[in-house]
Amino acid sequence: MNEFIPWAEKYRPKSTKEVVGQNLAVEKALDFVKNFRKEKTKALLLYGPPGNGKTSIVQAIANELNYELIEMNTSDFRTADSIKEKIGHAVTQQSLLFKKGKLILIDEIDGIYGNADRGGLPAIYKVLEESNYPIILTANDPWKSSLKTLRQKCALVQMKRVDIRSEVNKLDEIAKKEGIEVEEDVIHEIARLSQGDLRAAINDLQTICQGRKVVRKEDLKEIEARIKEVQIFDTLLAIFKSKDKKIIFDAFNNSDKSPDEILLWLVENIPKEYEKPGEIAEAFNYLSRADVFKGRIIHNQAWGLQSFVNELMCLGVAFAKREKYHKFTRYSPPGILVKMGRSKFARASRDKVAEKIGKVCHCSKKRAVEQFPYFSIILKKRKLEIELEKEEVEYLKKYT
Amino acid sequence: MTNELEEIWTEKYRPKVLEDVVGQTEVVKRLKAFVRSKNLQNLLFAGPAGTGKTTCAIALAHELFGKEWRNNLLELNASDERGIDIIRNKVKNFARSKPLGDVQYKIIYLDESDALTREAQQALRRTMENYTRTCRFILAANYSSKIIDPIQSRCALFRFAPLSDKEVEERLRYIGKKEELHIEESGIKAILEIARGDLRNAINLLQATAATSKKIDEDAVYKVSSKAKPKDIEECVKLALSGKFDEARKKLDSIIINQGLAGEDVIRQIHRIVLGLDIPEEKLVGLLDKIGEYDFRVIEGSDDRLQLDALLAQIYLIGKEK
Repeated sequence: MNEFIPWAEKYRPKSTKEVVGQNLAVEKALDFVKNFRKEKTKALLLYGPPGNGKTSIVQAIANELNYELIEMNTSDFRTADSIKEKIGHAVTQQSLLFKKGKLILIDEIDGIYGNADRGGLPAIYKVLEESNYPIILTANDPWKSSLKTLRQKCALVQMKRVDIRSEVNKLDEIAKKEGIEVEEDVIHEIARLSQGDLRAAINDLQTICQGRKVVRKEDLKEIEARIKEVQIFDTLLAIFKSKDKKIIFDAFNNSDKSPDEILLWLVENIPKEYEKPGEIAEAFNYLSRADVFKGRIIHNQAWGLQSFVNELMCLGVAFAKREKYHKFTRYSPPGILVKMGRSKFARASRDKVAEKIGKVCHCSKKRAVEQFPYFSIILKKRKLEIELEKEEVEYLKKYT
Repeated sequence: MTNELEEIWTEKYRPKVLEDVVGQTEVVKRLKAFVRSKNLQNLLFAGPAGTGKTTCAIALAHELFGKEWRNNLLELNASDERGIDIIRNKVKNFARSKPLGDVQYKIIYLDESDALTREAQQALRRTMENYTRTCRFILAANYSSKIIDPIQSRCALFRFAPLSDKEVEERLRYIGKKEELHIEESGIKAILEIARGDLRNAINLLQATAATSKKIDEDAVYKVSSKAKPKDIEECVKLALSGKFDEARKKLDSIIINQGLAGEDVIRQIHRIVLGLDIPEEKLVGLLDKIGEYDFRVIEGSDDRLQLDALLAQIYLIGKEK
């Protein structure tokens, strides 16, 4: 029997023209590499959902321009040393192969999780600074707070899900090359199920074509419906309406939201779902316990505790209910974020005033804020010897 | 309303020399010994807010450095700086130049050191070691137990006791005399009751009362303190107790966001408010038990707002119980 080669690899684009449905991103990336100059932005961050061609674009560019491609992914990110070892030298030295240049690919940078990769991100920053060659990074979710600094150092290019038309064309082309007759409906269905994840679609196509020369509609049931990322509402439904561990963990682990975000959603919606005070108090109690474990993780680097955080959070909330509520609840997104945005101004003036008072009174901003009410009362009657702007005085006056 | 600029009394009456520091007799005695020998080790000041830690550090600098004290003292606050790296950089820049005057070292005063994580404290310890020749560190903290052992063992420990009512009263009367205030006995009592040994609080309360009323009596003091008391938090607790959990949470959100209070501060105030509530004994005890528990969880945990929400849920539950 032939060696099994995944079609997703076999049909990876060799040139940028073969990249499917990402014209704009291709253009930007190609432009970045071709016109790369040391002093400009050194890195490009391609981001978007899985299987939409991020890595393929980079490989295609290297191939097309005859550059040496140096690849690095999550497993290499563990420590600062491993990063230095892998690409530290590569970014400054000339290509040893007979290539025209070098292109560095740092794949799935969002795989760097918090402090787990100690020194990982700073080592990457250093690589970006020192590099004489263009660097392209990829990520599914570049908006994690831990990636903030990195975002500032890169030009960001968003890549959408691959549109269904392009997916269908590509699948069709592959089937033809493999000499297998696949009904149009089947191809269409595979593309639809993949929701813009072309790699997943190609894998499905390969599965269904295994050992067949002709693929018909009834063969479709052989491929399992893909478990796509669970939308947050379904995660909430599982936790709030079920007590089944498997259902709950599946919904949690496959969620499109991070544990931190799910926690915020739970906090927001517990009182909407649960009606008995005992249930509400208990659900919050377990979230609070989960957070205590999170604190221990942060303070003591006790990474092993993460699973307890997740379990206490999911099961603690799920089991808090006596019985499931047979009602429709309109779950709403975490409110604090919305309000934080709106109150940005208030917080900014508060911080400014606190800083000024803290400086004069030799205390922290926090302590200064505690004393705001007194200064507010004084300022309504007298003038104080602190250098405050007019609107800062007004802010304080309104404080009480 | 007068047009004259008024100085903030906590600063106007902050002692310049150790001799004038209120209370803390033992501490002052030991510090004076340092002044006499012109020698100084690293120090750790531990004690509650408003008991004179910063004042002692400034007075010490005054006495050691004379008029150059400002140039030879770097005041930092761990709860304000965004990380140990920033602190390290500031220390580095400060330590770069030689001390002015006839002393061989400069002083770095790091207030609220217990706000630093253990990891950051380890880094701080290395920084302290790097500058042993040119700098002395004075670390201040509410609790010495929150400072890691390796730092404690490198510092001489000074415990600041809460000020006694008598000591606070003396200071208030001194200020009253200087400012020509009309302070009644009942006014002093009221301030002592509210300030609970925190002199900063007491003096600010005095100044605020003096700004609103000629006569400083019980009435005037309580009027100011009730105006100053974060009514929002009281309302929030009452809402939760009366079964309005959602409204209580909304209130809490706006308190955290707009007033920028930290979880520990909010809990401290909830504590104070609950003690003043007129509720059945068993409910009060139940509430205190929960407040204590969540005070601990706020410190141990990572998300103040979540912990406070959870505490509100407990208060809500206790309110509902028969």
